[in-house]
Amino acid sequence: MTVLINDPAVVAEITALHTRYEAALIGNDVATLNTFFWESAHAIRYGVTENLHGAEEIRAFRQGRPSVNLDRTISHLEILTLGTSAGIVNLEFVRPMDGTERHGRQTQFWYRFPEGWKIVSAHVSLLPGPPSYLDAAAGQIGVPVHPANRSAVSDDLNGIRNIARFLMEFPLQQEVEAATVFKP
Amino acid sequence: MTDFLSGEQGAVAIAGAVKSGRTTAVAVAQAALSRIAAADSTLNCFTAVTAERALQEAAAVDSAIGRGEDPGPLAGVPYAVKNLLDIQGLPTLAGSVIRASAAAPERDAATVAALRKAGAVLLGALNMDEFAYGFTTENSHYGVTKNPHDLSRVAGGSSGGSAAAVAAGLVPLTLGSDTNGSIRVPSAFCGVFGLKPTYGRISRRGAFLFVGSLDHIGPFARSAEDLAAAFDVLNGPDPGDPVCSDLPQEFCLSDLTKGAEGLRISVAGGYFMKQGEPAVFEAVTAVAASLSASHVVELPEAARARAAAYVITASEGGNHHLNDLRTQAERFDPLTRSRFLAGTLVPAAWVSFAQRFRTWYREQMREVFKNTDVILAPATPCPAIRAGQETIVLDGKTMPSRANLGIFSQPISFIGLPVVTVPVHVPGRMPVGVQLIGAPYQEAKLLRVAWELQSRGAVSAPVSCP
Repeated sequence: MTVLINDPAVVAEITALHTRYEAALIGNDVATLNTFFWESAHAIRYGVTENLHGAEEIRAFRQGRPSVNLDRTISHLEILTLGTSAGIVNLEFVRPMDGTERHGRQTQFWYRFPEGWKIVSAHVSLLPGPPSYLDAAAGQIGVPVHPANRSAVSDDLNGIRNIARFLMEFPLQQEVEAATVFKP
Repeated sequence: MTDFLSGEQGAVAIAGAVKSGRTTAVAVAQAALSRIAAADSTLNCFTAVTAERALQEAAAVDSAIGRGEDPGPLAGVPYAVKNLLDIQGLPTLAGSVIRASAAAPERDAATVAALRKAGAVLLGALNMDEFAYGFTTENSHYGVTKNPHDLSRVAGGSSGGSAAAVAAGLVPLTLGSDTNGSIRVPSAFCGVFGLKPTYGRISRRGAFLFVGSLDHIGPFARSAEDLAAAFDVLNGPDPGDPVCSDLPQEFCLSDLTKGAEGLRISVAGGYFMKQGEPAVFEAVTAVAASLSASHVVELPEAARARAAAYVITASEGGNHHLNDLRTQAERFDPLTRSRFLAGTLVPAAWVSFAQRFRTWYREQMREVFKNTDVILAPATPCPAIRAGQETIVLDGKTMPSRANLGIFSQPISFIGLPVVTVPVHVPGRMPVGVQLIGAPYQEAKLLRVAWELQSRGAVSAPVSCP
């Protein structure tokens, strides 16, 4: 049996779907995004931080997702179609997160159902990034930050950083000494 | 006779009545204990009432008088202290549960000892934000201290128990501490007088510190003369506090009636005229008008001074608690925990810069004080907020409430300038406070201006007890 690989008409269809999906993702167009996944309990989406089983969980996740910082730049794209009913989109992307550039990848398996092309399963992951300042400093200083506290500590540290940045913009002369309270 | 047993009485009046035999220290202490018993379950000012000690100290004062001895300038005056000051035999909580199991101190804090020596009578320990890191006295372990003027509102913090106890007339005198505004914010919110002295003017020995570079101890009262009487016995050198000034003890009470005569009084402009509700600026205007002060001075880079104080506070505060944050972070108040943890991680580059900026800012302010004696500024950006209120709107911008209540107080304590906060009451409104800011070691001038304003009826601290 020979398999029809990358039939131009099929590739064009998948490419168009990919383009629409990407636009909806970056724009957090939840209504459009919900039309792409297979309406089935068998649909799977493994996200960077979440495992979603079935169309219902995927929809619920989309609904609750804050629409901030979803922008990403695709650095490499591979579309493969097998026959006329199966397509795989593999892509690599770069996304700014917490002040650093993170590299990620995404795989989607598309299948042509009687109702049209749908994503049957998808997987998104990030390559390990540099450790955050918070985690690196906490490790060096030996202060364990419990996962339950991490987000609040990160917010507070960002707050201090913003205030410190404003302070550090001041053109202080090099010869100014610290005001010490130490009396020998 | 019973007049001297009412919560309306001030410290100087009580001491006079006790010394002249018109009442006794024991009767005054018992009356204060009754007021605390009646009102404090509602207000939640006290974390401990030292009834036995109070009655012993009061009896000792009465005995001294009976023997013809001078019991001291504050004879029989009931007072209480923020629970970060050492009281012999009572664990110094500093608002935490972590320290509830700490060994009880063997001696009183320097300030408590000074008040005892002056004849004052200790009634107990007062509620505060955990480890003084807050402006509201919403303590998750010991409860919220309520504002006597409106029980749905906070007393301010971190010395909230100290301000509310005075505002409600439970005691005429209390002690608190101020790092970034912790005397001035609750003074303003509760409508009482508060004195944050010059850095190093009052000993901090026996105080559980928050940020050593910025910590001050000072009194709360309902009049300028009571504040002066307390300052007179509290100030002076103490080798036991490494930052305490060597300047000799100073006495201000007898000079109060000189008033504002001969003093150059200015209003802080720029930064101190923005980001506040109309009520606080109206209070500054009213106080300025009462003193015929119209000259406006700029405090250069006040916003950055506040930023630098914020950075030093986070870092030193976090570092102070490093061991407990490593081993028992979960026992911290949820309202302080993440901030202390974040503080441990602040890079040295920011802290060193902030400490160097402090030198620069001090030089600028020395120049400002060449041309003025007293500067008026709001104490807080708004009157007392409601308990649990997460945000305030300043200049149309919604901001986190708790972090921003100190925007007008932080740039001042940052370089240790003395401040008397005076209360402005407008009928039907919550009180607000105005800072009288002076050059270092010029507390006497500030107290004179406070007395002048009080004499003119521009400021007052009426008792409000629910």
